[in-house]
Amino acid sequence: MNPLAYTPFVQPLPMWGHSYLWSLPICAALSIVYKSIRCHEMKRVPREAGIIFLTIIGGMLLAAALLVVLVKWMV
Amino acid sequence: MPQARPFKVPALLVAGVNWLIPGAGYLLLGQVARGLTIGFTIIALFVLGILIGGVHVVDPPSFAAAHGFAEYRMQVLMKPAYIGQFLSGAIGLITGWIGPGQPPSHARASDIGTLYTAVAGMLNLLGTIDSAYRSTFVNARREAH
Repeated sequence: MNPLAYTPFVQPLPMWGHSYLWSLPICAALSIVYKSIRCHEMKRVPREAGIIFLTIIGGMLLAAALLVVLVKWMV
Repeated sequence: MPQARPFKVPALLVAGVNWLIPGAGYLLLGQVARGLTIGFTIIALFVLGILIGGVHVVDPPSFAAAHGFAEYRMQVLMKPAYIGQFLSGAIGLITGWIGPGQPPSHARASDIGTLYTAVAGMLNLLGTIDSAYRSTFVNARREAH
C-alpha cells in the first residue's frame, strides 16, 4: 500500500515491523483505568499506574525470555 | 471532611450513562477527576484502535437472515469482538454503524485494532460496574478525588 494514499480511520495504519510495541499503549490504558478504579485518592493514580504498568511489561519480558530459552533448549 | 451528596443518583442511571459515555457516570456522582481520567483513557484507546485497524474493525453481527434464538446467538458468537466493542457505548454503536461500509481491514493491523477497541469496551464495563457501585454510597467518605 502506498503510505501517501493512507486515509486515517478508514484504511489500516501502514506498519513496518515492531508491531509488538503496540502492546505498550494498551498496557498503559489498562493500568490507568484499573488504578483509577482501585485507588481511593486520585492523586495516587499516576504512581500506582506506573508501578503496575512496569510490572506488566516486566512480566511479559520475563515470559518472552523463558519461552526463548525453552525453544532454544527444545530445538 | 466527608460531605453528604446533595442528591442520590440511582445506580441503574449511573450505569446506563457510564456505558453510553465512558466516565460520565462518575461525573454524575461528582467524581470529576476519576470520570475524566477513565473516560479519556477509554475513548483514546478506542480511537487508537480504529486509527490502527481502520473503522472496519468494528464489525457488528448481522441479524438480517437470523431466525430464532439459536441463530441470533450464533451470529453474535461468530463476531465475539463486537461484544467488547458494544460495551464501549455510543462510540461503539456509531462506529459499528459506519464500519461495515468502509474498506476492509486485514492482517496484523486488523488484529491490533480489534483488540484495542474490544479492550476499551471491557474497561468501560469495569467503570460501569464501579460507578454503579459507588452510587450506592450514602456519603462522600469513599469518593475522594
